[in-house]
Amino acid sequence: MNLFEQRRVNENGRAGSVAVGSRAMTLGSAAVAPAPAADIAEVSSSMRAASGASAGAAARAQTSTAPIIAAENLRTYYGHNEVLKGVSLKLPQRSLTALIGPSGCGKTTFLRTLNRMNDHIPGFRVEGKVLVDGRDIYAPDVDPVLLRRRVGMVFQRPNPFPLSILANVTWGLRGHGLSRKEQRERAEESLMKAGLWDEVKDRLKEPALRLSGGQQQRLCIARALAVRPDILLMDEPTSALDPRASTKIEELMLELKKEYTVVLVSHNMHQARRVSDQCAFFLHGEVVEYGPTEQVFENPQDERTSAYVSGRLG
Amino acid sequence: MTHEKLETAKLGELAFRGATAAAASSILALAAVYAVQMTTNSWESIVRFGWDFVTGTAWDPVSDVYGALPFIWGTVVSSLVALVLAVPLSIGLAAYLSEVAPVRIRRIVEFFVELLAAIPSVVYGLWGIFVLVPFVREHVQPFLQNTLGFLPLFQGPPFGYGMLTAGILLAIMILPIITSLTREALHAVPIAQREASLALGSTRWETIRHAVLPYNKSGIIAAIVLGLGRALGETMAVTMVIGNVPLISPSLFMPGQTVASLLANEFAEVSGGLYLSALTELGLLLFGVTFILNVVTRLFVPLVSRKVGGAAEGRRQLT
Repeated sequence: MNLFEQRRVNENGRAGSVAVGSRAMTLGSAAVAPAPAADIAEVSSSMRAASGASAGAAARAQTSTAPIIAAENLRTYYGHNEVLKGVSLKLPQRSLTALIGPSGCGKTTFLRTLNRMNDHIPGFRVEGKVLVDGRDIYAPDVDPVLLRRRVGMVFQRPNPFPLSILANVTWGLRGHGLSRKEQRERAEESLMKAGLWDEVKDRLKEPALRLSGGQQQRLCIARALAVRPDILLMDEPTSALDPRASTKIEELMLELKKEYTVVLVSHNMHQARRVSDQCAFFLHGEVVEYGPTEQVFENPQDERTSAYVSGRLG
Repeated sequence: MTHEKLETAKLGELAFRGATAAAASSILALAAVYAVQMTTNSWESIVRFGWDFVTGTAWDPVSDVYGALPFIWGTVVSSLVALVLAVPLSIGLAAYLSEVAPVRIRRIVEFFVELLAAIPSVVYGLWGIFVLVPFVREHVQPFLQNTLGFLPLFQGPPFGYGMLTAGILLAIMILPIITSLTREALHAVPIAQREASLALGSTRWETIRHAVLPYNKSGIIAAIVLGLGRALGETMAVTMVIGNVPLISPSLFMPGQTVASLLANEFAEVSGGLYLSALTELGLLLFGVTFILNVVTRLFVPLVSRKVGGAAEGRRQLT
């Protein structure tokens, strides 16, 4: 029994057949991660155990103990091209870690290894380890689908689905075994957390694409939060937005890091400095410096870091 | 460059423009000539029968009475059977090729799909006669009769030749075009849509079903309509397996005849006069329907590719 399945079971405790059914479905995409048949048995036995417990609360209590991310000598390749050259980082929970560095230095690649978003890119390969809660997420028995329910992601450009605002937020709840009403409540809760509720509460049925860029991005954040992740990956979430919309998202990040472990890729050093608790400086696929944000910006230990943060490099 | 050379270059440019414009307009002219010529040639029949031509069921060259309903029926039914069989298969195949298959397998399968499109119609027909017809007669029809025989669709003696076989053959023939157009439609769906869905913890299947396929629905519809257009006009292979009896029967086991197969069968023996005029009107009918289908899809397709196009660029953008 591990946390990935545990969460899944608690979410679905009420609708058992759904859990098993979609589990079997993910088995279908075995190319990504072959899950041993034993897992199914495990899921259904713990399902009985979980039924009756108040599902959501139990799940949060279970998983909020130690969501820490640790990369150990992580190397990634696209074909023969080595992008990350041995990255080791430990990210503490419930804080915001910024990944900074010039373009093409591996920040986004690193971010995308944390929820296995690179799995689908042909020729992509990982060496070393990425641990989430002490568990290697590239181990063969980890289902990337379940992993991504714990590790949400927000992209560079807002990418809402061409559906209504509400349908966007409840999108990821498919197969979680929630009733319509529960989904609706979850949507409201997520939109509030994303600071969008007041702006959209009267027009939830309107197309999401009618929202402004900044609103769309906050909708994407709400959509990610609706799945109740512990970790939120943000890949330059403000780079496509105007300054006012960016400020709103930054304020949101400060709120989010109280409850979630946030990892932010940013090209904007001022932003990284304003919102992050610790900061990792990437250069040519390696982490040159990692430490508390104050220290990285005020008193960098490495010459290259000081060159970058003072604007002399990159 | 001297002044004279520049002049010659300009002249060449002009001539080139003229030549390409002429080539382009000749297509329009050709279509116009077709329409006019076919209308004038079938005028006699149009005037004589009016709407009775499309609602009449008697086709009798001896007494010069022409009603085309059985052929229209045959065309529509065989094409619909083809669509029912080909559409799910094509969309599944396209989704597999675009979303699931590893590169090497994708190339191999794509090669065979394109190969299907390159086989001449008459070869399909021969294969139909020698392989498909006996197979349908001995296996498919008895099976359908035993399981779904209560439906009028699957009643009657298993001939082998008939609507069902024609539909199956047509399905195989239109599979490549629907598959490759659907694949293109899926290709136009931005990677960001897929990643948005996957990042929310959706499975591959959920992503394809709910994020990818609906995103370019009209592109897929266009693919289906173009496939339908091809099925409506297909002549040779259908003529060889449909049985060529002008019947309007609810049963797919019964033989039938399509507009195209009738034209192929009877043009050789036509003497002229009203008979020729009536056959030409059939041709005009087919021309008109195909034309309308194509116009409708063209109205759809550019709209779709403009909306999504460009977004597909920068797929696989790294770092």
